[in-house]
Amino acid sequence: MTIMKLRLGRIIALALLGSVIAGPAVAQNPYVILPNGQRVDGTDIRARSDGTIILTTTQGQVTYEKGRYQRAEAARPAEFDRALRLAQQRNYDEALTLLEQVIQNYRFLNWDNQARALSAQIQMSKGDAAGAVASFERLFQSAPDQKRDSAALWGYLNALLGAKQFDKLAPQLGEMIEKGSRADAARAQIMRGDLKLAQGQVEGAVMDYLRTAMLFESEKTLMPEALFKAADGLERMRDPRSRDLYRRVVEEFGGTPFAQRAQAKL
Amino acid sequence: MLFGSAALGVRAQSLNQEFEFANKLAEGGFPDFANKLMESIVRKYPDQAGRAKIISAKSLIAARKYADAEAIIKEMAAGDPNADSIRLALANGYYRSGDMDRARQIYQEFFARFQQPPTDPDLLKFYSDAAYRFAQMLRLSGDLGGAAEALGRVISATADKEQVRSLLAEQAQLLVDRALQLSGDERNQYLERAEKICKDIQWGGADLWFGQSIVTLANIELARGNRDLAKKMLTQQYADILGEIDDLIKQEKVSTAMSPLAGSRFLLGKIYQEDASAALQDPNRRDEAIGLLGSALKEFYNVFVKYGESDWGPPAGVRANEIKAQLEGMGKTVNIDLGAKQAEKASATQFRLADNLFRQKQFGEAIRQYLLALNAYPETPASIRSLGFLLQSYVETDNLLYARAVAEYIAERFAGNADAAAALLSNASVVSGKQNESFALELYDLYLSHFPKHERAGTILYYLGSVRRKAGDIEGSDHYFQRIVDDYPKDQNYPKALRLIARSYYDLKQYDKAREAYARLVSDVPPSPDRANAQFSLADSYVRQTNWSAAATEFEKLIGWLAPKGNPYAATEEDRAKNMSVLERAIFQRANAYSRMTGTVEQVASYRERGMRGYQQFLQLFPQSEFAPRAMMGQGQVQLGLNQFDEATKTFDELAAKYPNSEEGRNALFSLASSAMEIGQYDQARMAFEKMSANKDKYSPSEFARIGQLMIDAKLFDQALEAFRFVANNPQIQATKDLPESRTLLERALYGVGRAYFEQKNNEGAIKALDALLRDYPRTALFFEARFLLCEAYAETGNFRAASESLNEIFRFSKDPVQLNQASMKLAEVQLKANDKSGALASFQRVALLSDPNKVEQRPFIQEALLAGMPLAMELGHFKDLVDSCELYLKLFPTSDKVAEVRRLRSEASLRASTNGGATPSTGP
Repeated sequence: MTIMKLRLGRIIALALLGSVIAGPAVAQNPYVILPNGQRVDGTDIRARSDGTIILTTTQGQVTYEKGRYQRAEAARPAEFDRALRLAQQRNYDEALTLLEQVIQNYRFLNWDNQARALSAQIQMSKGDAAGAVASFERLFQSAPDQKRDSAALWGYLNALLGAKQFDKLAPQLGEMIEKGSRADAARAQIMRGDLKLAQGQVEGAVMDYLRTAMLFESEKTLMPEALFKAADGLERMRDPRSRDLYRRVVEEFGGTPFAQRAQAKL
Repeated sequence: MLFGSAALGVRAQSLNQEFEFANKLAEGGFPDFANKLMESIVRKYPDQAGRAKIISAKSLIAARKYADAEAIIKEMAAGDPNADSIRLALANGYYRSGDMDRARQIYQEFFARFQQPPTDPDLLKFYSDAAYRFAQMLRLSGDLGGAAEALGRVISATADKEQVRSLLAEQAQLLVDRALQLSGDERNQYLERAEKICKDIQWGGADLWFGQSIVTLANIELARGNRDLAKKMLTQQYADILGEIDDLIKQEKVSTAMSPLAGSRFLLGKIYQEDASAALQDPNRRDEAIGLLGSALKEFYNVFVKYGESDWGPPAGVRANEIKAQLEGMGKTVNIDLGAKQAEKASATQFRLADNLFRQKQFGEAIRQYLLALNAYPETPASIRSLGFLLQSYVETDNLLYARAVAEYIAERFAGNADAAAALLSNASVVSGKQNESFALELYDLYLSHFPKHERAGTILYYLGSVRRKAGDIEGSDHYFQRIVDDYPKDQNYPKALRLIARSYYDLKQYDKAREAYARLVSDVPPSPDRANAQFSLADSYVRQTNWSAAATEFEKLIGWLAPKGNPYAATEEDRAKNMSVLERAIFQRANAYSRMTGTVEQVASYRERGMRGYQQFLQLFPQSEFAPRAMMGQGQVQLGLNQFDEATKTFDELAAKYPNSEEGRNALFSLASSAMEIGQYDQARMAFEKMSANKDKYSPSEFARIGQLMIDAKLFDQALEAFRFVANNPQIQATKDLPESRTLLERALYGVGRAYFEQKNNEGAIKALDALLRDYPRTALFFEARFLLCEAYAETGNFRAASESLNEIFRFSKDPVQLNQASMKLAEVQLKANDKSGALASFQRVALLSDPNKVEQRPFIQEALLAGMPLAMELGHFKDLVDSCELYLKLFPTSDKVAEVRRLRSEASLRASTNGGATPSTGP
């Protein structure tokens, strides 16, 4: 199962990577967004270590001290795209080295955070969940608003699970279950089941999967996963009710990958 | 830990969600999980106990643990509004399990509390729903009158006029159905009541229920024998109204199942069919009968096709089929086809008719109906299930021959079919309930041989194994459990079966096999108390084999699992308690193992050190444990082993102080002495004994008797004598020597004195003590031991006659072949000492010829006696006896290392026998 999980983790990470790669790599000028939302385009941009931005415009250089701009972004770095291509070719280490350069060279210029996010995804792809956790945490430290981004947050939680950093993961899941949206709460419950399973608490995991399946029926996209995982847990416990749940997955959620896996169990 | 994280996040508001979840678990087939969730909630929120009880009761009901659910209800306060809900849930459970009597009793008790329907709206709805459910139960169980009464309660609790009219129509029909089961006045009363209800309905307006009431009224007339009137009502008087209602239903797109024409046409069909039956009695009316059958067929066929969804549709299909077959049997061609799907519906109806009879326990009639249905529809989906009911009907009517035939048919014809498997299992359970275990076993065997892949195969094997185990047939039970282990490793019963097999090996002291099974269990089950227990038993098997090193390793592993806080081995408080007990024993045993491990001097020192630390850790963690005194004694033993005598003495003093009520603590010096002797520290043992002797008053004669025995084992005969003399001369023992306890002690003491003297070569002293024992206590349990010892003591003094006489007493009283052989061998020994070679040879031959070579315990005596007698026979010239002995030896012990020597003796004896002309003296047995 660990191998299966690892494989799944990689597949998910690769899928995320794919979405980044597939995204448009349109070259654009550097710019600064001012607190009032006004955008000031330039031809060159750099940042001082204290966060001050120096934007070169057609009228000369303009300096923006930290706090006097909302956002500053450099033109898309060629190293970033090269790193993406390398990652696609599974040259993960080279890609990560390039991204480290981007992080150093584009501090305060947005691409440092993009590089951190991409690094985390690449690290998950190469099976380095602990590295991914570190990257995500650096990202959240540098750009706290990223934690509100669903993809980044779930990527981080997945990385925590993969890295077996359960002490960090459990309270975050608990909070999402209590206060998150219905969809997030359901997803968090499933992940809490995964966490318990990773800790050998099979019955506790089954309870979380069942809780999701029984109380979050409206979250239809999550149902096959919750039911399948509940069945899988029951099967580990040699509980014959596992077959009933596998049957449900096949009958009610035919066509999903979980239905295919459930069919194989029957 | 299991539910902890869930419970932690549960706030007052989310408690509702947890209860909702528990409810869904209970209803969704997970009552065990629901109970665990409730336990965790109550542990955290004790004030929720009352609410949790409802879920627990529902879970128990879902798991068919009705007695436990009833216990919960009894605990609930009188007037608790939740109690009714649980009681009725329990009644429904009983109903589902086929116990209509109990279900009825609970419902009746509930309704008896209400003279009038309740006024509280919620309670009124609850009451009304319960009454309707009860009515349906009664109807299905054949109590039509009761069902009509129950419906009356629903009517009185219903305000909606439309609903009341539909209920009245249903009630009227039930009353008519009931009337048809009766005769005379009773029948008329029911019919009158139904008639009145129908008229009330008709006064209420012309609607659907008006139409239904017409059909019921026609039914009433038919029941009264007014066939023409009934027919007239349906075909003339009310035909237009019924037709209009039917049209209206179609226009309004209401389900045709509601149309009164369905009932009307069915009734007409029935009238025609009955008329045809009457006409067929007269050969001259055959054509008329055929016409009537045709009319009946037309009605039934129409009902089946046009109103198939109504209650009348399926039985109409059955009747249409029957009439079709009847007409075809009369040489007529009938061009109607119900179609496959319709036929399936009709078959389902026909089976349902049989099912109703079965449910009403009319088994004879049910058999007839099932056979009819099964011959018409032998292999529809409903057939297999019905075969199961047919089988049960034969069981219920004690027709086991037919039951067996049906069971075998089910197994062979429908092998692998899940419904067929369920049918056999349900019948096996019924048969078992009737105490016919052999037939039940037959059914289970049929099931297991024809449905090996069925999901309950493992459970059944486990059940059969458990039954054998309860009956004391361990081998038989293991046979079933082994099948689970071999063939169903994914089954829920696999761990239990494997555990029991392991336990059997353990009990049989086959520890290698036990370990193998426990190791498999450990590798195959997830972290749980069961896994921890298996690991403990695995380690303990090493203990039994005194493989201390392996035992220590395995205990270490187990401790590593259970010691960390929040480990995954416990899901509930109960689990935690179980694991703590295992951990406690493991820590104790680990120390014990380290204390006994062997190796080089350095290694042993290191092991003992770890053993001592282990004991200290144990005492720190579990000072109140039942093993604590033993742990402290273990610690003292280790100290003795490490020559830390002062520390050991302190430890034993502490043992006495801390655990004064324990066996070890009550008698620390005794413990010290016995511990010292156990590890060969005889000087320490002697010192401890001397301390005991100096404080004799503190120790009981029993303890002196025990230590006396230990001293004999340690060859400390002076101390042994002192201990036994103390017992023998103890005034208290002497004063109560007629009491069994005192007598036993005195016997042990006298024997002990005799033994100690004998070992010191003081044969006179030994003889005196043993003679006293045998004189004063001729029925002593030590009789045979004393006789043997006395024989030896006399023999040592040269009094061979007295020695032989002592043995003669054994020959006189013993019935144990082994003991008799021992006595014969001892006699031969005495005779040899007395130079009575002929007598000795005769004794040996008695053992060799009279013992049973097929008894494993007697074979060594035979072998020894034959070998010992051969040189004597040669010396005495008993060559033929010698040849016979040699032949016997070679036959019985062909692989012995003495074979060559025996063959040589045989050749020599044969030669010498022939030289002497074969005339050799013979020794009788």
